[in-house]
Amino acid sequence: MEREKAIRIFKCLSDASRLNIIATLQKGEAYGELLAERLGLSASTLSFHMKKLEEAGLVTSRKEQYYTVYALAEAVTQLRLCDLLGDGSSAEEDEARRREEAYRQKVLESFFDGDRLKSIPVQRKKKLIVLQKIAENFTPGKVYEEAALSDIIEAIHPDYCTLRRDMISEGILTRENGKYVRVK
Amino acid sequence: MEEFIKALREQHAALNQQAADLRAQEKGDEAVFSTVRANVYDICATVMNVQVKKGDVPGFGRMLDRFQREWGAALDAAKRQDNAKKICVEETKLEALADVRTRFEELGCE
Repeated sequence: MEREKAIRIFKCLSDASRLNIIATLQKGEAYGELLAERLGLSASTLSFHMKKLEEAGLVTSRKEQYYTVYALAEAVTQLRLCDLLGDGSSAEEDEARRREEAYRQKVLESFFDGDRLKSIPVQRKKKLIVLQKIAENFTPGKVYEEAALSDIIEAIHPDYCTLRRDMISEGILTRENGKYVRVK
Repeated sequence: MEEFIKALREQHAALNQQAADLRAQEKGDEAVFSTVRANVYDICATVMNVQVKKGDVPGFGRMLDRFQREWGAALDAAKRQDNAKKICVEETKLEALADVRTRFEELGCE
């Protein structure tokens, strides 16, 4: 079940009167007037509670001449607690990804001026984001001569030696016999 | 007239107590409605007090008419917006107002 819908149900049920209404309707459908009388509620208060229960999908209603008959929405009320809770993993992961991407964009905006790197970040987390951005200029698996690789990095920042070394130490590039390959 | 104001003040206090009890029973929405009802009695007691000081007790009836019009319009607006909570709040206010009017009419001062 969607997290928002589950929250709406829990909020709706966190009221003693609404729980009393649910308990009464478990015995069978009932007229609004009868429910109000049984539970000692005014007509307007009962109407308010029923509206909330209907919005949460816990109760259905139908008109019978001048009266409204309420019944439990069995499909929802028969759900187990674990069905309502779900594992929540996808929502949390989506949120974490969204925050991570927002942070990444902020770092790139701070350190890059167009395609040029303004300065090399000191903080490792920020530096890694910058290095990964530079690595996008290399095709994964393709072999680069040192001079060609250095030219590409130098076009981004003059200190290509430091950046090249950092990319190797972070495992973004591999070096063998003076040739460089971007790790997939 | 003092007895009338005193009765309104007592009703205000009783309803505030009822709101506290409802909150303790985890009936939060009903506690809000009780507080709303209590406030109507408080407002009416204050208005009547002013009318007495002005020497215009019948003016209290006109104030009730004004509240009726304003809260009735608010109820209509809430219905148009299909706002269940606001509908209940406005109906509660009008119910309490009707009770105050009945008590006032029993005094025979209109």
